[in-house]
Amino acid sequence: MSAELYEQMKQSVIDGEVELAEELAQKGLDSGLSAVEILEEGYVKGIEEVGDLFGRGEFFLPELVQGAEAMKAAVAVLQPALDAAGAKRSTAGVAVAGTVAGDIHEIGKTIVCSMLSAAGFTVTDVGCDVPVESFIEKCKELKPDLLLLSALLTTTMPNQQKTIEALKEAGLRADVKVMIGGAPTTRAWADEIGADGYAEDAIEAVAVAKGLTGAA
Amino acid sequence: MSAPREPGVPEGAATAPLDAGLRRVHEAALRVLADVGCVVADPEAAALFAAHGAAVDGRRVRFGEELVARALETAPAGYTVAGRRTELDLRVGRGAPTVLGAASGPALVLDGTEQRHGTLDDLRTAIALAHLSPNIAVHGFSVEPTDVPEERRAAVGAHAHLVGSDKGFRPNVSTLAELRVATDVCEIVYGAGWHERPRLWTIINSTSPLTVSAEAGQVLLRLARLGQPICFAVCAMGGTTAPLTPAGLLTVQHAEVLCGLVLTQLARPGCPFLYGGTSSLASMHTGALMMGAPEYWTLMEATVRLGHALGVPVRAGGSLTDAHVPDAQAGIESALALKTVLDLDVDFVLHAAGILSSFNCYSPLKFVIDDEVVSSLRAARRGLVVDEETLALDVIAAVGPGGSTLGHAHTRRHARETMRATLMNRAPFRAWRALGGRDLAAAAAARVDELLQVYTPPDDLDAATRRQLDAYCLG
Repeated sequence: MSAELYEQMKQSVIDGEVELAEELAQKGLDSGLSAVEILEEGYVKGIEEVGDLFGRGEFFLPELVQGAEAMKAAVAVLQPALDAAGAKRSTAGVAVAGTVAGDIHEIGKTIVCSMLSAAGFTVTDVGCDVPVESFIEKCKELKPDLLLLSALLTTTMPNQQKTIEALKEAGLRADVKVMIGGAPTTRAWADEIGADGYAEDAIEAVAVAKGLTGAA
Repeated sequence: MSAPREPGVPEGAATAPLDAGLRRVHEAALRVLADVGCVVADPEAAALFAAHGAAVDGRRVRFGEELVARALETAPAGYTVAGRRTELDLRVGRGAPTVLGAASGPALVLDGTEQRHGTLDDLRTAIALAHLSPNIAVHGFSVEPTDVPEERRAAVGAHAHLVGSDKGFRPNVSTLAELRVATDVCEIVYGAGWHERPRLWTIINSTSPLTVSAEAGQVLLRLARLGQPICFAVCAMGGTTAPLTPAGLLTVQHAEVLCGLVLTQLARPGCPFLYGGTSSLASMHTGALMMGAPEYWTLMEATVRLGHALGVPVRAGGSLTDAHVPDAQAGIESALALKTVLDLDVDFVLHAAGILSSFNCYSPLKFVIDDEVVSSLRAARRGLVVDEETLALDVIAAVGPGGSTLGHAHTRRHARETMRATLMNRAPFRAWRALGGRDLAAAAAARVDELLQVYTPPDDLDAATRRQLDAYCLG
């Protein structure tokens, strides 16, 4: 019975069915299954499959994004039970990602978030036009392994540098690896501002993130 | 397609010349404007809409067809942009040749096979090449001089353009501070009355989907009130900021441009307006905008037709490619994209030379290759001249069956009319090999070196103007 339910959960992520993923999570909890097991046996298997299919070129971005949305919705249903059980989800790493202040371009960052989710990272997307202070607060709150800063304008790239400087001032720099990206950024810019990682696209971002967290 | 009309002379139903499909796109865009509306983030711009009958709810502006119809009554079908000297004036609009602009805006430059951030030296190279081009009439920030501090970039860049070339200059106006620099340098070079004629080449972008940012709205209002042409350009990305299906993508693009058109005409009836569109599809594998995709060519054709059907000039297309180096892919995609819009008599083309990696990278080599492709396309578009001299019946009779025209005076008379390629190889194989067997990129690199050797900046600015410009921009 539970095996069948886990299979449906997995499939709901593969199909990107957000509401179904939520319903199945509630159904699992109602039938007495553990939240940790639901997550690991159902949804994580689904998002892994989505990641594999994308990697093989069989899935496209909308399928990846919808899969990550379904996964997120299910986790939201499970979260109170996960917290109550004091359970720690197995994760490739905790990541916080956002587009820096003054910049409203968030599609690339959203794709990176979806790809990281599919690769097993626990990702918090803090959106776009994010002030330096908000990144610092999120780092204090979530203690992420990775902070990903996106910029699509030459005029907003300096805010990547300012965020890294602010991390230093807050005494947080040693605790978090910083990755940067966005069309006008380069590896040379990443080196100049002291970022730990740079990726040209979302696929490379996953590889770099895994390298930085030792999840490779 | 309707005939050209003069400013302020209405031309009947806007949608009349469109085919059934594009008519539906136009009607769908009108529905979007009425039902969904656009966010117009600048309160002054939103208030202007409200004062003219639009339904304004916070920043959301909805309006019906009547505002569009009124805007079309006053938007001119063509206009002349004043140049530094009268002979450099440029006519924009149907009946006038397409005005071509150089690559615009990338932060990166291709250096060998690597990309790096652009410098002021790179920008000076781009300015020199644009100045020497027989085709490019307008240029502006073909590469960002990222080694200049951001707060000084607009002024230092303006100086480099105005001193380095007398061609049309397109400053960046994405902020009020940049706009201020643009208008200040105009006043220095052309005097206090600089805005009595259309003079500034600028691009104002919407933020797809369906948003006019506060700064875009503020810049638009100020430029329009100065009577300066508004090129309102939309770069929606199918699959991310607009529907992936080209018809839906065009609907979003068309609605946004109409919003910009109405705002411009409300700010100043009769203000020159350019219908701008460079929307394309995002790759569903990477999310990147695809400028080499065949769907882009279809979209650009529709863009030109939609704009022209409104009776306003259109900016669309460019020598655009997804290739990262000036290779065969770059040449194929760029030439086909440019030919698509030139064949439709588009009015203005930005990125006509020098751009790579969609909109992300400038390359001097790509610039000279594109420039030669433009020369070729222009030569082809001149078409057949059929008259007594070109039919050459007397020559055919004189040479007779089996003869040769090579030694005939007629052949000699016309020998220099054939377009002479400077980069494209026309030599036979062994002769080509004997000359080093260069491929196009190698020939382009040599050509860039030659051009930079012969380049001399114009000296038409008088000493007092030059001193003032130096003091303002570099002081």
